[in-house]
Amino acid sequence: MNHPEGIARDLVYEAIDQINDLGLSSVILEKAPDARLSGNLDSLGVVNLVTCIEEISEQRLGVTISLADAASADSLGALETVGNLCGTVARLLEARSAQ
Amino acid sequence: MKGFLISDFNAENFGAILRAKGRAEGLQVEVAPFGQVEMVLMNEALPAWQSGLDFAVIWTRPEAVLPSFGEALRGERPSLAALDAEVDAFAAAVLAVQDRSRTTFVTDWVLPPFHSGQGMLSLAESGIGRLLLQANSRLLDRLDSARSVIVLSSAKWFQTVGQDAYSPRMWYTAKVPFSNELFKEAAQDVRSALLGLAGRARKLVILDLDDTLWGGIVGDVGWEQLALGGHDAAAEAYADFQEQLLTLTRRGIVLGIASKNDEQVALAAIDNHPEMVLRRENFAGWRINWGDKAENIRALTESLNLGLDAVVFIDDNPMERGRVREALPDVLVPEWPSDPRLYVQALLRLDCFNSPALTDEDHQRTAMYASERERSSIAQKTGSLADWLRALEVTVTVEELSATNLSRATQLLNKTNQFNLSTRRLTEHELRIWADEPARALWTFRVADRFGDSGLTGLLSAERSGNEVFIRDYVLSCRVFGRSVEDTMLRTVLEWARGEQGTSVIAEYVPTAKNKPCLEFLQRAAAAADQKEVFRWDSAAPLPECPDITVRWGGLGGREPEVPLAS
Repeated sequence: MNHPEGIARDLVYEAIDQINDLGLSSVILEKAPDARLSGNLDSLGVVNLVTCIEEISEQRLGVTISLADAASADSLGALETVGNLCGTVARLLEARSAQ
Repeated sequence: MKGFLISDFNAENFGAILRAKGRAEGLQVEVAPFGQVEMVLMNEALPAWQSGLDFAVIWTRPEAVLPSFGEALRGERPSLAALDAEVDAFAAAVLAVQDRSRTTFVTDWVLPPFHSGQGMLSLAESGIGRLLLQANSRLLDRLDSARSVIVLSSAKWFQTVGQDAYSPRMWYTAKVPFSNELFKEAAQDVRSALLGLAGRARKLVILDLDDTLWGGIVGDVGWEQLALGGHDAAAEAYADFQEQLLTLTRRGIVLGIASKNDEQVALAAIDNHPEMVLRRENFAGWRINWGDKAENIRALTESLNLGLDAVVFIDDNPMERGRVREALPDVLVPEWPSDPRLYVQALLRLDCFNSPALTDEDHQRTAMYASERERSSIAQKTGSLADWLRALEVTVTVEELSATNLSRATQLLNKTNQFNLSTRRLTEHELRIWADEPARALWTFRVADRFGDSGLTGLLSAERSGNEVFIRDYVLSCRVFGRSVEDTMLRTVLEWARGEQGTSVIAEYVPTAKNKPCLEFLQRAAAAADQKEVFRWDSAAPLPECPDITVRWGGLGGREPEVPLAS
């Protein structure tokens, strides 16, 4: 897979746009690597964002990823910042492409 | 505006999307704890029920609230009697909460979107499709009598979104069964219904002509060569589009024309083309000239006594659409497909014409505007206002509120902006409850003249408090304003005040951005003004004279023979 980091960032940013457009977060989420997610999203907000990324990955790339499992297993805090989330998505995409 | 969402599933996303959609209207939405529908409906002490709700939405899935349907989904053979009893119990619970909010929306029941529907067995005896039809039909029957309960067709939301309506990911992680796309459709439908209930549905569709109502430029090719009807695909689509517009007029939506054309040439096409579905009499008015369309739309709307926020403008030309959007931001200008075969679909997708009820006036509205054109023509020929009124031969029929006129009276109260004393908005249920109280009176006024029947176009309500009578609603459609009907209404309440031993009648004007015509009338008609916006009449003083109006008492109030009103 070419440039998984770039592809992952596009997926995450598109999902953030959707969450913001629909009003599903109480604050407007920023599209920047160091923008914080924890504290800005409640538990349903996290589920919405994660699900949105999984669905966009399936629709755009035809690649099924399970971000929910990866995020809960990641002790480094996959959902701490937008950058961390992009990194987690990139690793999942790389792993799928290697299969 | 405050709302309360009750569901058997996690509806937080629906709530968030509804809040975002209704931001312009200041929509506040509280979401009940999910999966506790029965408890939430039964517990009147819940703070949400006490908060002065404008609306509640009760959205349930059949498998969650009808155990017998759940059995059927699992392949068991349910008892039809049990299913009926479950539907009845649910309907009774809904009816028990109908007074806790101004409007209660209930969704109908649909199959889980991922379900195949049992194929050929679905509509057979005890098939799940058949059970669902029976359950929905029974639910509608049980709720029909409740004026403030509205059943929303959720099937439309599911059809629009298709297979993506259900979200297994969201269900297993958060007990949210549906996708946000589905919630968007639902939120749009609820918002549209709320706007309709508040009298803010669109009422006038203004159309371009060339390449919008027909194919081709009539000024270039002549009406004989226009693409309209027949066997050509695009030409047939234009005729179908006109059919759909005609259908819209039967819901009380009026049509107008704003077109850059020579008026005589364009009207010749409308009058003479054999495949025209819409004829001159189907349009409430037109502005066909070479002037700016935005200005023409403004002038046409004013001439029909409507506000720009009641208008939808349809034009195939993106430049014209852009110009009107920029100049008249209150006008709804939908994006429009370039292919005429998609016009009908684009029109049917518009959800801005939502109305809670259809009345006789809705069916006849376009004809009423045509009569208005004839009245204006007489006005130009007669010398004075008195001569004009005499020539019109106006008859006003006064009726008390009844089951027959309740829908139209409520619609008039909620839709009228310009001649409206207090701009009070009530549901049918609230209006009936208000008028049923002792020491209150409410009259409706039907207006007709030699050119036609304008229907129920006036409403006045009053309340006695001690020796004073307060006018609570003073509402008159602008279509009949200026024909002394407003004086006849005033005379009616003054007569009632005398009968009630009231010494004075008081009208407190509540200003809005649109109701200045009412203020101007009060300033002219009132004997005195206590303050700038509080007007007073001595009920013992001579009554206003309306010598050229014949008043009849109809309905339950039939107390007087046909006599002209004069003191």
